[in-house]
Amino acid sequence: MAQAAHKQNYSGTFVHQRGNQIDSLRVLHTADHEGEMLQLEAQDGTPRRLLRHNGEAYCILPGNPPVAQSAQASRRIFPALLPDDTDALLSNYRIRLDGTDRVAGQPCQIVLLEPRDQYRYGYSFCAAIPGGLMLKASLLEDSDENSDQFAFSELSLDPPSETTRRALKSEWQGHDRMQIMPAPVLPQETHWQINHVPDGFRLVSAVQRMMPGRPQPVSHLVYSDSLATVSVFIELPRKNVSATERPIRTGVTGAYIQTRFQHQITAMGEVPSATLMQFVNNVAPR
Amino acid sequence: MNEQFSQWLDGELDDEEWQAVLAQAAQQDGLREKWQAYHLIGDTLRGTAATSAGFHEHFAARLAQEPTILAPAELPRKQRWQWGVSIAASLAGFIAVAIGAGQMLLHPSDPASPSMLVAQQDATLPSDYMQAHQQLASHGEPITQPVLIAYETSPRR
Repeated sequence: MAQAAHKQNYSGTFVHQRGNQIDSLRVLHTADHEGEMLQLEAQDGTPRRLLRHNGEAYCILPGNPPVAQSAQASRRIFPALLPDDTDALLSNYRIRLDGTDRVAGQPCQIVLLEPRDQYRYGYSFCAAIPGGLMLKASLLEDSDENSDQFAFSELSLDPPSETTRRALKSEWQGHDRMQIMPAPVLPQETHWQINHVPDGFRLVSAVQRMMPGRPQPVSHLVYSDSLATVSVFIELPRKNVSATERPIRTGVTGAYIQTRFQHQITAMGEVPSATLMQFVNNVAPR
Repeated sequence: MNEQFSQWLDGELDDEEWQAVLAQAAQQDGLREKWQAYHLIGDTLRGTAATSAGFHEHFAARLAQEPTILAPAELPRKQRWQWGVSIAASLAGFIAVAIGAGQMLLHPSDPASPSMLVAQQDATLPSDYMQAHQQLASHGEPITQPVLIAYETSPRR
């Protein structure tokens, strides 16, 4: 399923439902000896498109020059949500097959990723039979209000015509791009560490970054269990931002803010609140 | 103004001079609409424009109460991190996007910013953290919508 999203041709429309918000996107993906090409086109609200070719991406708004988005390019986009490294995945989630279903006219196998402990949520996928392309993905959280899911509503697995392929390529080459750099990251090491990280999470990045409106850099530590990601931000206390007694939550994304060691410490991620609290409570200076 | 913005980015205009330009420009007709357009672009990039009900009303309210929006005074010169445009590039056509994206970064905790309003209806997740987190998140995020983090890496004198 992880490979199918990169190696196959597909085009169609998928829906992203997050809480009570629904977005519909057209997708066109081609794969050949030159690599992958992806076009995503928002069907709701302001027209906007994302073009991605291998590691590079830019978005296009009507009447504006395309904006390059190198930092975003590596991000996983539906239906390519699964990591390539299945070992790490399997150490934190159990795979269970759960019958078959039909999505966008295609038969598919339901695959459940069940968390091995209480520190993460489970996921449900439906993989096309045959081929294994992910046709549907949902995060299984405690309540329906916080649901987050993707599903194709219409899909073709036929290779795109030569005309379509050429048009995509020439558009990719044809644009002058406005180069926008990712947020600045400073070379210094962070002075913080987290001692008892919730099981299965490992540090994937630790940087100090300048963030808007702050004279001091913010330490940003990122932990991943290969599917779920938690960011921990550490900075000097700021006006207008106060610690929260309880974790706060918007949809499946939660945050927990506490003041410790005279610093404001925030954990944020798509994990249960207890996980966020454990991250924050174990931050210590090095 | 485009030319002066370009000069400011290049460090040829210091912050005080740039603020004077902004103050003068604020007197002119049409600037309000321009700012509105700039913000719309920035919010669109962040995906908040399309999703926020009453977005234009928020806009109007925000503009009405916020003269400071034109004065990026909170960035002292030494730490002036600049919006990410290649400095040498011709800027005129790019300003809209650069400012639109940059504005929220200048006023990240401004409670009236449209993206914050969206969050506040819920639980007020810090929106600047959210952006930084989303850069790296894999699932469960609105990854369907481009998020723009727009500033350049080298501090300039």
